[in-house]
Amino acid sequence: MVEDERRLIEACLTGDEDACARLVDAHARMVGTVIWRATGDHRLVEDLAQDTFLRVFHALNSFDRRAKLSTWIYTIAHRVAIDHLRKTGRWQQEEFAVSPDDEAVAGIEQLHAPPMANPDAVFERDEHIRLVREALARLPDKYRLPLLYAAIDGLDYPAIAGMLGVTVGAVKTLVFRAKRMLKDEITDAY
Amino acid sequence: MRIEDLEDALRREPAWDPPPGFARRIAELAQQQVDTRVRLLGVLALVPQAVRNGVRNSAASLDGLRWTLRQYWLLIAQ
Repeated sequence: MVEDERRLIEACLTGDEDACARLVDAHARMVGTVIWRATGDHRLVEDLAQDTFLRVFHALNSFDRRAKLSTWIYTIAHRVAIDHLRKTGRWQQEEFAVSPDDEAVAGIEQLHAPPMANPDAVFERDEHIRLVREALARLPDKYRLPLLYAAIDGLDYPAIAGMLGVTVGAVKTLVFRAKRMLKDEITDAY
Repeated sequence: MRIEDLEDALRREPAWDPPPGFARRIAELAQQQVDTRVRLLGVLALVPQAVRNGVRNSAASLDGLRWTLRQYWLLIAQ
């Protein structure tokens, strides 16, 4: 852990409000983005981000200083989002474990998409994004969340592995499988 | 559709921007929670003393009651 981060944590623990605000400032964007991706609802983000940081400050005293602070905070954000999905009955998956079926596709590097009925329309930007969003909503959470997190700028595989409580290899496998499932979903829609 | 196109579409999704004053508001709320916890712990710390005092007062009351009953008994006995 960098010394500045250690000092920031110590200052927060002594009740330094400016230090707490600096800690929130440094991580709010990523926390909110993780929650937004996981819940898919922009209106919830502010409340759930607030809940995340209150949990962070509540547990800061027990934070293991050898761990990476950002990953610890993003893990709490992920759990807050999952708790919300569970409360609203939208959480389908309990584990991010890799199944033998997932392992079977892990070695594939490149997939070739079948030809589509109307490629011009598909590649229209807005239509493209709409299609991806609709297909994403149909993916099981086990694949949807790793894929969405991997697409967030600044969130690397080790951080995602920490958040989901799996290995980096498992994250890669889940993301790869998710991309294939997503492509199949979009292809099937046409 | 190629995998690269999917990745590109996913990466184009916007990030969340916290509203102005968000960090300050959270810091204040966190501090209030700490204050509340400290006050609660302070109150809880007083509980053993309160219990001891209560027991002592109860004991004193019992002694007083016993003394009063004894006085009544003496009066009746006379």
